[in-house]
Formats: sequence, C-alpha cells, structure tokens
Amino acid sequence: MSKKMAIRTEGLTKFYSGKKAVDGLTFTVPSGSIFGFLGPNGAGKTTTFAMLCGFVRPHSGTAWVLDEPLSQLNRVRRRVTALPQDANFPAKRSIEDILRFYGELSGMTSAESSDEAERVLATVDLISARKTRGGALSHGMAKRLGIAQAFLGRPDLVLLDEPTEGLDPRMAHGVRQQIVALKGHATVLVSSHNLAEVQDICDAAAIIDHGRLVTQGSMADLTGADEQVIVTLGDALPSVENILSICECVRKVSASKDGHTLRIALKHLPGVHVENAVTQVLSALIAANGTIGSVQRGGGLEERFLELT
Amino acid sequence: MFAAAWRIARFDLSTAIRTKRALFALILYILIAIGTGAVAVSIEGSVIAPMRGTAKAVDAMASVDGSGVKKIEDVLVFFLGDADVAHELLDMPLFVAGFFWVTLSFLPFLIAMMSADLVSSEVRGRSARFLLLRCPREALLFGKVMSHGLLVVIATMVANVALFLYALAQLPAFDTVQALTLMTRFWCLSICFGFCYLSLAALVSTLIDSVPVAILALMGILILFSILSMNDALSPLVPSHYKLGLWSPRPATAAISVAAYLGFGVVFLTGAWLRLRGRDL
Repeated sequence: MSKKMAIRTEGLTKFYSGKKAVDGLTFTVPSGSIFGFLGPNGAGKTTTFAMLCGFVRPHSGTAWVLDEPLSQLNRVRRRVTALPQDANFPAKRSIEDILRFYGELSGMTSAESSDEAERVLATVDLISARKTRGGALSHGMAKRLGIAQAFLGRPDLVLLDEPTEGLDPRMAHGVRQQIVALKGHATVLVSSHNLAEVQDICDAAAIIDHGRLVTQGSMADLTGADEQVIVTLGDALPSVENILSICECVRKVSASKDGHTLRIALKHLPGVHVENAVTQVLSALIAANGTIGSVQRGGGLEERFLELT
Repeated sequence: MFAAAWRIARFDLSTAIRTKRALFALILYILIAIGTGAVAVSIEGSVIAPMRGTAKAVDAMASVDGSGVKKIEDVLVFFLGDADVAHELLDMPLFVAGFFWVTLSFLPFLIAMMSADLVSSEVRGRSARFLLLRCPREALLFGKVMSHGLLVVIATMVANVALFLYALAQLPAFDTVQALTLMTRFWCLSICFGFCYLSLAALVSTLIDSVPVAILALMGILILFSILSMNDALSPLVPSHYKLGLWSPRPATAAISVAAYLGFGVVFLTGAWLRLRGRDL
C-alpha cells in the first residue's frame, strides 16, 4: 500500500507579471514527516507555500492538502496552520488579543483560546510581551509571534516559511525543538536557507530551482548518508587504498591532497548495515595506526544543494 | 462561516474604534447631524411652530390659501416634484427632517472615508493571511462589512438619541410619539441606505489597495451617481435616484426605495465577493 501523503502537487504553475514563479511543480510530502523545502532565493518556495495555503491561486496545475484539492481548502482549514512570510499583525491590538482571536477563529472556546495563547506565548518566550501591540513588534518578535500562531491548537499540517530566519541562536534552537516535537503528531513542511538546520531536523526534502523540482528524497538519499563516509585523519596514512582493501563494503577511496581527508564510497552488501560498514572502515584505519579526527556520513546537504542548484 | 464572520466583526469593531480615521469620520458625522438638528430645533421653536399655530387657526376658518405654510409647501412641491413628500416634510418636526437630510447627504461620504480600505487594509499588510488560515474568504468580507455596518448603526443611533433628547428639552410643544416614530422609521431607512454605500465601499476596497486612491474613487463614484440621477433615462440605474422615495409617506413608494437600496447593496457586495474570491491575497 502506498504511503499516505499530506501534500501532493501536480504541475503547479504560477505567473507574476508574465514571469513563471512556479513552473509545473510536482512533489509530495509524506504524512507525519518533517519535510524540508529548499531552493535558492526566487526559486518559488514562498509562492508555493502561498498556493498551498490558498492565499494565491495557481494559474495551472493543482494540489491536494490533507487529501482535499485546493478548491476545497475550507474543509481542512482548521487542520492546517502556517507561518506566512512578510505578513503583518493587527497594529492596534496586543499580541495576547491577537492570539486569542486566532484561537477563537480556529473554533476554540474563549477559555481554550486563552489557554492556548498562554501556552504558545511561553514556547516563543513572549509571555512578558503579551500586552505589546502588533504594530510595536521588532522583526524578531513578529517572527516569534508568527511561529506562536502557527503552533496554536493541534494542527495536522504546519507550513513554516523560513521559521528561524532573523532569530537569535537560542530562540532558533527552541523553534527547532518545537518542530521536532511535532514529529508523529503532525506533518511539517519547512522552508529554510539554513541547510544544516534542515539536515538536522528533516526526514526528507525537496529541492526546487526556477520554480521546478530538482530532486526530492529522504535526507539519507539526498546527502548520500548510506553511500559515502568522510573520515578526517589526525595524520595522513600511506597507501590508504591498500589498508581499506580488506573491507568488502568499500567501493572506492579518494584522499585529499594532504591525505588528511578520506572520501570512502560504500557498496551495499546483503545483510550488512551501513553502521557496520562504517565500523569496519574505522577499525581498519585504527588497526593501521591511524588517528581519527572526525567521521561524517554522507556529503552534507549543502554540498548536494550547491551541486543541484 | 457566519460564526467566523461574527468573530471577525467583533474583533474588527473593537480595533476600528482605536483608529483615528474611523473615529474622526464618526465624530464628524455625529457632530454635523446633531448640529444641523440643533439648528433645526431652534428654527422649529422660533419660526415653524408659531407658523403652524397660525396655519391651524386659519385652517379653522376654512381658508389656508394665504398661509406661509402653504407657500412653503408649494416651493417644496416645485423642487421635489412630489406633493405627498412635500406635505409629509411640512407635517414632521423640522429637526427630524433636517437630521434625515444630513444622514442621506453625508452618510455615503462618511462611509467612503471610514470604509474605503475595508478589505484592502487586511490585504496590503497581508494580515488577511492569518485570517484565511482559519476561515474562508467570504467570512473575511462579511465580517468586515458587518463591523463597519455596526459602526454606521451605532453612529446613526447615537446621533438620533442625542438629537431626540435635545429636542425634548428645547421644544415646549414637542410631540414625543410623532418624533419617536419618525426617528425610528428614518433610522431603519438610514441603515438600508447605508448598507448600499457600505457594500459599494467594500467593492472598491477589493479593487483598489491604496487608501487615498480608494477614497478618491468612492467620492468620484458618489458624485457620478448624483450627476446621473439628474438624467431621466439613466437615473433609475443609480442609487441616488431612490433617495426621495425614502421620505415618502406612501408605503409602496418607500418600499421600492428600500428594495432598491438593498438590491444595489447586494449587487455591490456580490461584486466584492467575486473579486475577493478570485484575487491573490
């Protein structure tokens, strides 16, 4: 049986001033996953988010959000939340009033919305600023309030457009923790330019460029985590290829010019897990009196991103 | 959808009264309405009431031809082209007529100033996006129209009550029942009248995002309506044509005017809904 998808798009296309912002985009987001949505500036990420939320209408193509087509988004409206980019809050109202209002609009009672407002304000460390008016928020505070409203209630799907952009490292860490805590309860679609962050928290990702899908896959597939291991040695070893030739799981070895960094391509052997293959490699290097500085599985998302876009 | 629209209306109403422009427009309307009414009350007390007393005395002698009231009625018939309305106007307290005249003349401009950005205020800053995550577009439109409609209802009611109390205190021979009946009737008519122009403002605010441009466009449309209402062939196509009917003592004539204003309101609101449904937010 095929895996259930929280989001499916088919040939989604959107023009702005005659220019294609999104060009026949087709991708899927598995239910329950934390899914990264990557692309360079102007790749069409925000426009895609806006179409999935029903803010802007596609010129062609369609999408299903929680199994409902875009034309029927009202049916799932209270199950989907989002952090839209560059959206302002009512300037004259306090952030507490704003969150309570959004809670009530999502179908909560007055008491529930007050409790929820309190909870989400605490998660983004805005309790002490609860009486601050929407028009008096700094960029960082507005971002935190945006995240707070996206965490209101118990959504099945959360779309976060650049959630940690402009936040200090501590707050960004807190937001990442919140996203990870949603795993298993909700599907989260995250767009970010922070590739280390995406690699850290996401199960899978799609990379788009010029409005088109470049690739989509699990994080292990995208980074080649099961295909390659990069080992940094304390001291260079002579004839590394010979040392590692005893490992059946090693397909190819290439060393940097100074001999400190080894890129070891792995081959899949029946019954041998990648972890065992990595252990074999390290054991062989240590047995040859090598000292291990660091070990990294895969080439890193950034490398892959730069290669593809 | 209606529950969401009502929540938006409540939130928006309590936000609107914190905005300087809406407050300024409301206070301006209330002051003009009460001011005009107060002047009318003093004219009523010093000129009209004695004139009516004379007319009644002359009428009792079965000869009204030479009375001042008759002359005024002739003038009104000439300008209005409707003897029933002219008679009704003369029969009602002057301050009630003055107040309703102010409402019919200034309410569209008040609404234009207050509601030119009814929808665009949410679209410009993209704050609509936070709402649309939680409710359909229709709820956004109807909620905003409802909140601005409530402001109109409140403004007209405040002006009505204030003027009524002032007249009660100032006019010794004040017919409370007649004044109360007329003011209630005109207040209801003002709401139907206001609905039409509020819907027009809603439509313009879905088409034009810039507030000054939207206000200018609305003012332009109101002036255009006034000009077109002077053309016999085209006047039935604009709301201004039905204004006189609202004064009519004949229920059928008044009902046609009310239906026309409600009809125009529905047409404008449908236009606003269609535009909002199709546009990017």
